[in-house]
Amino acid sequence: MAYELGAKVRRPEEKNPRALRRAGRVPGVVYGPGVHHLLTFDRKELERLFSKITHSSLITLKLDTGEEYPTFIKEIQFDPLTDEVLHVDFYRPPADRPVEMEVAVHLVGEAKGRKAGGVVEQVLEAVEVRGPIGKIPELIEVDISELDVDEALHAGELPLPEGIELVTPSDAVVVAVVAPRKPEEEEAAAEEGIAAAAEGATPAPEAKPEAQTK
Amino acid sequence: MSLLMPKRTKYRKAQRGRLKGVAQAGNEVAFGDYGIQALEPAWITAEQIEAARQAIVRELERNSKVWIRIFPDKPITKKPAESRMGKGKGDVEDWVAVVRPGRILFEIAGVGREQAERVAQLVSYKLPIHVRLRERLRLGGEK
Repeated sequence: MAYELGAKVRRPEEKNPRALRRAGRVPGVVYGPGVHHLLTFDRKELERLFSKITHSSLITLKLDTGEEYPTFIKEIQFDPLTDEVLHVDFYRPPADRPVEMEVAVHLVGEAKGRKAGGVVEQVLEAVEVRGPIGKIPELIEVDISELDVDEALHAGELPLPEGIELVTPSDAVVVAVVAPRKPEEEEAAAEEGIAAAAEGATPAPEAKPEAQTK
Repeated sequence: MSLLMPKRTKYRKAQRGRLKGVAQAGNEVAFGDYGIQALEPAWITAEQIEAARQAIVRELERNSKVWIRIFPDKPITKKPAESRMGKGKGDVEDWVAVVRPGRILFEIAGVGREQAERVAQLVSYKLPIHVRLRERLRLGGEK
């Protein structure tokens, strides 16, 4: 899908990023071969865009100077406490060369192993692929309904569009269904923990002489 | 009850330090689907971590997973009651994790939003600070 985002080139007097954020703008940057602009975006427009796209969506940046760039998101900085967008980096890739991008993996369906009591563990949230700009997929959807306990899906088994090659090692586990811990195992682990804590309570022999010199 | 503490340490006792600012690391949900995030600064003791962990495990079904993202690696000393000042620093009484606002304390996977909210509530009962449930940051198209 094609996405567009309006941006204003940051003026010298718009130096304070906090003042920009107070005014409803979000500072950002676009860079790539031969391109570098400091920008600001409308917060609401940016949040609307983020509610639709993925990290590998191709976004056309429309600058107020009339320039247009096909870009990918390189980095989004969020406030850890408020989840507010603080800053966005856009990367304008070279048009004539393939790009390497991380594409999110989305799991579809409920694994057979989960119904049997297993735990679905998504080890990789995204895989790295290489291909021409226009062919980079937004999302890789994979059906895991046939995945049973102690089975895993590897990066090499992911369905990729034509012209796109995988950069992540093909034997990397993307999602696995692991067996749940048995109650006896949990008890044993708890006992081990107590033993370890008891050992730790007496200072280690190598630590003692050093501590005494203090 | 098994309590978390370092197996061995370079020094037996530590200075208190300050609890200024927000968490610069460990402030994103990295493993599970939901994280329980601290909203205030505090020293979280090994006992509190264990109590919260037990509350989570009891609430969750077996086909879910829990990560503890903090570790009590700071020794806290205390002088005996009614002792006079001086005569050196007290003995190690407790181990704590230094937590600043924004820090993800626990992560859980394999549960729905409603159950995760219930877990966050239970955890908040066991900790001396306000916490909130936080989802892993995903863009709209990835949800």
